[in-house]
Amino acid sequence: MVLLLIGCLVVPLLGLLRSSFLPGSHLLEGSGFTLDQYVRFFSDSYYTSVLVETFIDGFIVSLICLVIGFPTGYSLARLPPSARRWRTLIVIMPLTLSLVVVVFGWLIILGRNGFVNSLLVTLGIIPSPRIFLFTRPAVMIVLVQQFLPFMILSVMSVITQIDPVLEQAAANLRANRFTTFRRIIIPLAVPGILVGFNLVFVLSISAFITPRLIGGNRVVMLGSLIYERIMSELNWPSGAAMAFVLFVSGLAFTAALNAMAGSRIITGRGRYAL
Amino acid sequence: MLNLSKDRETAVRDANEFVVELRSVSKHYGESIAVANVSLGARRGELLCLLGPSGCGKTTTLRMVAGFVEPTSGTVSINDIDMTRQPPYRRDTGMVFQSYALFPHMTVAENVAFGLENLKWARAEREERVKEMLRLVELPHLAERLPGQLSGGQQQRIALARALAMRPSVLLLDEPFSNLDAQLRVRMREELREVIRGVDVTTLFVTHDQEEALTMSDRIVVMNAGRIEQVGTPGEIYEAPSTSFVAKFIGWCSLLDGIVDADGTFRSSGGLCLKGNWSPGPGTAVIRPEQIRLFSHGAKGVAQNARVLQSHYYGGATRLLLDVNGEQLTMQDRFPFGRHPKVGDVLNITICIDDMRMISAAPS
Repeated sequence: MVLLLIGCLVVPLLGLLRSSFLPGSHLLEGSGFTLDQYVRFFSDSYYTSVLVETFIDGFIVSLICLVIGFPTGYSLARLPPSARRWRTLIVIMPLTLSLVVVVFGWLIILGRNGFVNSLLVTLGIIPSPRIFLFTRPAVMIVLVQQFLPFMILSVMSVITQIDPVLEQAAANLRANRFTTFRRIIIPLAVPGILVGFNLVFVLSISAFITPRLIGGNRVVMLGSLIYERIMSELNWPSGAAMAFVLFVSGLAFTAALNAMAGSRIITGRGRYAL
Repeated sequence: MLNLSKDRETAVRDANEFVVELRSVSKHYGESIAVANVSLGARRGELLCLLGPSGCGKTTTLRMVAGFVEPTSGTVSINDIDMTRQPPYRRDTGMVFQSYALFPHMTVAENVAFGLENLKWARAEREERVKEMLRLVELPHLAERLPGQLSGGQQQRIALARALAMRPSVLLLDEPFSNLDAQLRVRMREELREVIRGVDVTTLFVTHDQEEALTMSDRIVVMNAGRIEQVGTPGEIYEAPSTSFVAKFIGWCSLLDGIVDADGTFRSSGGLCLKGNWSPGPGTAVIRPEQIRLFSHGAKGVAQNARVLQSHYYGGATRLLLDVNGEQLTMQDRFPFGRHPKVGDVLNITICIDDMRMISAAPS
């Protein structure tokens, strides 16, 4: 297991790290050690703005997934196991489809002559078809659709660990459903929420198929930029540097998020102490 | 029997007598009936126990009072206000759950304060009340601990403090001792009774343990298969069971079916004859183990021969299964060391009929 991890993850990662310090703008040939790629990335406001935009997008996608996924995961968790089984299958189903197939499906739905446009025109809500593709909301909708199962499953697994009797105890202690939710369910579900949030966030900021196909050239996320740089321009050193910026900043972001929420769980402190 | 229900009716009319009252409450789950037409009331300051085997509907009844289960028919009122359709958080009850259900992410003090916060108590009063409750259960030093750091007995006391902090009209206890080991159970039983007596709160208490029910309750409601079998003080329930189910469930006993003759003599179907002055008709004799004694000269009663079928030594006493005239009876007594009856021995016994209960098959 450890060997597999080292062989398939650590070694290529180190190779990538090494190539990000190469000078020039070509394939992996050449030698030397320079910070040029990083300097170029951070001194160009275009790249930094794409990085920030990617993080904002990832954060919003994670939030939307949380808002939709929490109630879904909660209600799944509170079903009897027999009823939960096939509903869980439905949640997982989209993950079994190839991402490219899913994205092409969305292209058909959101396209100029697609389902959404023809529906809106037929209903008279808009006079003529609009362009939904190549917009940021479209990219986010598709990302939410792709990564929602991860949130639902994370929330579901943590809620099944929360004894329903605690909710009854809260109700007996005069807490209405909202108070029970806010003071009992949410705090106890934090570990699952964090797992789901991290998963969706990391998947979103590193996505490249969706931003490229749905976002086109207008909506640029760092993932598609890296893909372009390496696969089209064959500029490995620059692509590697970008990938490492994404890797490290994504890691730092999730670590900070976890530390913030984690300290609350460990001390278990509520709003006041006696 | 008729007289008793008449008394109950007058009691129902007296508005203030019952803090909690259930009127003809039933709960059906599809085809199965969990609770069938149960009416009962807990008087102010009373410790009322719902006793019965598992699946008899006692827990469902308690949960209908708390509001977690909605009755199929009938009404539940607390302090004379109809609460049947009210959610749990609008009901003036405090409940101690079987698993205690302490909030694992809150400290002991936060757990106890939770209900008070929801009742919008001012912070200072809240803190004062939490301290008071922790003193009441003698755990003030654990205020800052998390529930996971407490022993089972401590968790139970915190659960009690949390339920009582809101000064509920009714305290509900759902099998509160079932998660404790045998020795702790007896100690906690006494402690709990002391605390409840001290705060003088009306209490509804569910258990399947007849010893718990007998030692703790003011009155016991014996339930079986969703129905009430008998309501009475522990003494009444034990000494004067009104059905053979109650007799068998409360304490050890032998039940003999038979007929009481015109002269008041009971003849069991197996052939045992007991002279008494019971009212004639078919009946079931309830013979408690302590009512059978070794015969000694000068004692009342008639000597009978009994063959020992089984002998179980319990330390303080020995329990024997005897064959008396073809009937099997259980006897319990203390025998001198070295003279414990063995299987096959024949003893000379007498059955004390003075306070023997005869359950009439048809009410007379």
